[in-house]
Amino acid sequence: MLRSLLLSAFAFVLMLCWTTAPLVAHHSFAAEFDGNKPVKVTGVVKKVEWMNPHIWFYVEGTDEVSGRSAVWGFSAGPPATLARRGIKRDVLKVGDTVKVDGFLAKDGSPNASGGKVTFADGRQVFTAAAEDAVPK
Amino acid sequence: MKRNFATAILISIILALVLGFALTSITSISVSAQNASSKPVPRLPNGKPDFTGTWDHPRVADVTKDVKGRCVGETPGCSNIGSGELAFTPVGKSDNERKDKWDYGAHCMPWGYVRSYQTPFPHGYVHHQDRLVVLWEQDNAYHVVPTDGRPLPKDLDPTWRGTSVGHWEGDTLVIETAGFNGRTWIDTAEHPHSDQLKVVERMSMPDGDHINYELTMEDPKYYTKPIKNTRVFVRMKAGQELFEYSCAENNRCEGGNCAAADVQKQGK
Repeated sequence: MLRSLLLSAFAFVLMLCWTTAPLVAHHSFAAEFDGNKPVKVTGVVKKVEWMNPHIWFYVEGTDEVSGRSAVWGFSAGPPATLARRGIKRDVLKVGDTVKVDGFLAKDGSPNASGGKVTFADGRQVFTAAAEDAVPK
Repeated sequence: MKRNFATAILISIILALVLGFALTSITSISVSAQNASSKPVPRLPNGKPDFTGTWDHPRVADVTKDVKGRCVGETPGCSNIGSGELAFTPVGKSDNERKDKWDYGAHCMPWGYVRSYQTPFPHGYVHHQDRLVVLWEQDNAYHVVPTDGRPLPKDLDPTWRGTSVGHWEGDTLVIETAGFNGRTWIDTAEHPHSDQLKVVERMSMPDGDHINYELTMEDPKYYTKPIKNTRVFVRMKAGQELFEYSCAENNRCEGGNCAAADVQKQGK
């Protein structure tokens, strides 16, 4: 019983990996962010811009990879895409403490793609755009 | 006598297997068995299939490749059979390989005709007897296709999304589109096209929840052979509509330059 459950779960995860478009060359992710430079920032949400073409949210904190402290800007998916995944615009609130995993902007600014958000209570939300690199 | 009979049986079995395999291959290109629905095809007053609705499509970032599984708007059951390797003319090859391609989409120019069907944003149709109106969530753009069988005009003004006309062949709508300005790509993989591109789409509904969509692109200036894709679109769940889209409203990091947001300028 457990084995068939595990097998089903494994198959489901595999199917998700298979059906979601993998890292195909997406022009704006590749042009704007570096998939080889991870960023991990823990801090407080200062602002949320739930707008097209990609949402942005700003977290004041320190990146544990580079040690850089800033008001970090994170880019994520479009509002429509997130809504269809069940992620609503109130998922991030000013004042929330979050940890964000993403990939650094190529231009050296304190910005990144922000694919994974972990809340203080351990909840995780995957906010990446369709072909942004998804942090594990 | 017995041997002839056994041989006949064997041949029949082999023929049946071959025919069965061929038939299932053909139908699986259209709608895979587990996704076919029993919903009837809605009809226009003139009896032709009515494509009206909100439709999900496969993410096709590269027209040469196959795609199968979840559609861009989370509906299951989309697919694309890609073209395989592209055959460029010398001019097409050199345009494809240039290092200074300008990413028009990242700067919020119109995405283009074929490409708008291939993005992470679904589309819709409003279908009347005399026209099919295409609605793309990508760019929130619309496109009108008259379906009275008129010919494609000569001397078309070059535009981002071209000019289309449609006619019926039985229950298949055939749309021809030309008059492109050549400034878009045919996919996210940046495959280019010229102003000579002509697009033919053939659309039919095997059941009320699916559209079989065959795309053929011919561009003799850039490609020596037609480029073909075969896709399945799936009707989105009742109540789902297209969202608003605006490329320009908050296009931070445009072209790789991330201007500081106001909240990033304060104090720190």
